Amino acid sequence: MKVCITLLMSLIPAAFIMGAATESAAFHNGGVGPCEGCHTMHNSFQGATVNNKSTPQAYLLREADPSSTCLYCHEHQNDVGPTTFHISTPAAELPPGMPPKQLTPGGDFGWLRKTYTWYASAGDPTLHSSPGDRHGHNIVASDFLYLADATNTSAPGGSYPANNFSCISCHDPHGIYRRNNDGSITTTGKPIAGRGSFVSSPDPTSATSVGVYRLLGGKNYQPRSLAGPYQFVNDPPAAIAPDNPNRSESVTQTRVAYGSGMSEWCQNCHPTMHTLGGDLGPTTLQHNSGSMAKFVQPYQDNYNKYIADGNILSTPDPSSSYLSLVPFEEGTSDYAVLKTHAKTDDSYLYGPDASSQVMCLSCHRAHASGWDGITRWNAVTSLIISNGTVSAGSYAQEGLAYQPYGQGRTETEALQAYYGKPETKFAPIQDTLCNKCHIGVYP
Amino acid sequence: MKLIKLSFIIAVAVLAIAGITTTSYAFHDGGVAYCEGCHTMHNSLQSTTMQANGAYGPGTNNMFLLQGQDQSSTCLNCHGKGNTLSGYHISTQSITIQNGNTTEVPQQETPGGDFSWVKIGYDSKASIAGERHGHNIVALDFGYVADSTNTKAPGASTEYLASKLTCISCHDPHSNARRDSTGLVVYRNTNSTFPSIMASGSYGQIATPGSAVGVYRFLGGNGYQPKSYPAAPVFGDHIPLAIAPSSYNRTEASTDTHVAYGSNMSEWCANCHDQFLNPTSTLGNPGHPHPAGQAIDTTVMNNYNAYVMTGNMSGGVGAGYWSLVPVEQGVTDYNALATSGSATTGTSTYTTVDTNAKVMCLSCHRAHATAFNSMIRWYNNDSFVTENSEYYTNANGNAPNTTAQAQKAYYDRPVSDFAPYQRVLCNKCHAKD
Repeated sequence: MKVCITLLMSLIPAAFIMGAATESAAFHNGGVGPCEGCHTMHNSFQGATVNNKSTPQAYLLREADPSSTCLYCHEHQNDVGPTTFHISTPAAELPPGMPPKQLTPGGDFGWLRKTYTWYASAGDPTLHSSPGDRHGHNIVASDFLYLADATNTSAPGGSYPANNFSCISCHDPHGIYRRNNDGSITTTGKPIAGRGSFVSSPDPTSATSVGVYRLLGGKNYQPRSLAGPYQFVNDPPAAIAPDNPNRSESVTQTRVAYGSGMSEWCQNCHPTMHTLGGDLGPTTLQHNSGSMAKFVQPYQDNYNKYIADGNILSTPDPSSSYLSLVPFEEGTSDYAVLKTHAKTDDSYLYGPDASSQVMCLSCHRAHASGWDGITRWNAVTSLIISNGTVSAGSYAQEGLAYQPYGQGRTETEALQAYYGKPETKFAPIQDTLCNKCHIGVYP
Repeated sequence: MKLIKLSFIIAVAVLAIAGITTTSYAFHDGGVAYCEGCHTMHNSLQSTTMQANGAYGPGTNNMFLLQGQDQSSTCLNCHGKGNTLSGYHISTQSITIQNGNTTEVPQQETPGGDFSWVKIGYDSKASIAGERHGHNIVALDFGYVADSTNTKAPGASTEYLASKLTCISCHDPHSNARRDSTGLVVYRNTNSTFPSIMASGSYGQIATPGSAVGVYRFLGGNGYQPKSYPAAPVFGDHIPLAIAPSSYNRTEASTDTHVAYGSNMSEWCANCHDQFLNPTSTLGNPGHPHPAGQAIDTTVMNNYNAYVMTGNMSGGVGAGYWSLVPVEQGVTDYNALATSGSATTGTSTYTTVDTNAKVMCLSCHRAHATAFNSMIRWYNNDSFVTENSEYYTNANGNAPNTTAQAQKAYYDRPVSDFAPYQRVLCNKCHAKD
């Protein structure tokens, strides 16, 4: 009976969220969700404790810590593939050789659970390693076996403490930040009528607001559980996701329409990691990212010419050059435009123009990826596709004694890390995707 | 723990390339390596900075987002870290600039030579150390400074400033040029479609159809010019055709390291030293330079094949080739050279030169550095290479101070390989001794 009641309790927040199988659904509704979805006032429901905890946790959370509370809904057992709002794969479902299941644009935190080792060549006796904690933002979620980053004890380029890093470091669980119909972002004012992250989201009106992108924290945001000078200085970015972004890209791409402000928002925790503009050269000492990092020539043309290694269009074709593995911001905060560009059917594949800009997420995913540095592609190998075990080229070198390119991943894992994009989309011998922008730039 | 992780980071950058033996490895893979091998986007990796020079904190980089203070320093982050003969190293890390009676011995024995020789000056009276011993790359993190005497490349119609000379003056780090499966050089930047580089082309691997291998030592090809030096002379289409044995950094105490030079080496050197190239004029014409780039005549051919040492012309067919005085074979087909069996550390198929062979810049010079002035392969400032069955040394002069230095300068060859009073090795071709 107790088990049944606990099971019922567990369904309350899930039922809020789920809805149809592949639609992003509404528990948060763009703002604060029902309190009892995350908190429990008395750790008691119909004569039973909530979720097997003997006492309420800190902040009356239903789980041991903030991230665990989020994962209570956002991680799910026995998913057969990418499923709605799930962003983590349980540890027990990640045996050697099997990849995380979720394919959200931010990535599956399960990659943090995957450590790879390999030998590179016959003459190199070193057992190389790609530790799991290098694959993502190391949220602390003890109920779900996620631990703090032991290497980066504070945010690179900043001071945010790793042992206090959780989902709510970035996402405001109470969702007070709202987007108004004049484009402003405020924490008070008109009521939030619904989420603002998706194509089907309502637009703000003279009477109502919508939630900011992904409930991200805005100016002055700081989790209550974190003391110290860590208040955000920048508001959430302008972006729109397609309604069903957690999906395989084996046939068509998932295009999140990034508008502006992403890099500046990342700066909240990584303030010294970015430069606002300028071309690579002797006086620019950081990789460009942000509102001033426009796609000046030749980068714009490079992106629009690049198909794959060895296949560069003679003239740019911006109408079909978009690659979701190397996304960019469009340099706009016009949500009407962004909503027409967020697609999953390849009906809008336009590449960058002079207004477009490089952002942190051009190279990284927000949650986790299959590769070191949370990069979208393996950036610590010279080839992302090599002859491997398949003459046409393969992402991994599964079964080979030496794997300088596949670096310990199975083909299944590597393919999943590229969101199911078939190798045939690229060249059989494919350089890293830095070349999407930089091909031909260097001498 | 932190130390272990730091070691791992270094291992990623270094051991992925190297290993512990002297065989060539795959970091460059014949083309552009992974970007973070040389650059750093944020100067941050696993809670530490990636810059070797430590000039900045996380989030701020060196110019061009390089991991070294300059281009050459970035190369030497991997290639300059050896203190013993090993792998792909082309510099001996422990050696610092010194003048006078030093006994330090550079350790690397690549065909191009150990750059550390430019740090070693034998003459305590001279104001300059060893800068006459090689190409003076600027690599400030490793103590290499610009040539103070030759402030421009000698023999250049378009000046190449010494202050701009770095590894990437010659080597294209992003490897625009490549050889397709037929051996022809094709370029990435001037074609819409081009074959992807599958492997190094320096060791004789032939590309599979549709793919490519890198050009020799990914030297700059047609149109090459470092982005950091837009006033540099623009290279012509003269990629050298050459193949090295895969174990090329090794002692030659027992057997030669036979690099198979096919063609185009002198023409490529002329990208910066064009006035020193002499593909046509004949001996006796006033003002002609030594005929670099010309085929040898019958007299030189016979001399070369017969010459063993001073006073010994008994070599002949099958015993002529000597890696201390290499020549080009005159081969222009990469695939033919790759399958010829001439590049080896064992028994080469190219032991007898013919009149297709050409004298080239590297017949007399090494590409990086040597123990001797003008980076010549042998001591060329006096008559003798050996005296009384000992290598010629000359403390506080212009020859090596010690026998150990001299022996290393000749890649550990026993002095018995030479005559007791061996004259300079110009005689390999000219036989005047």
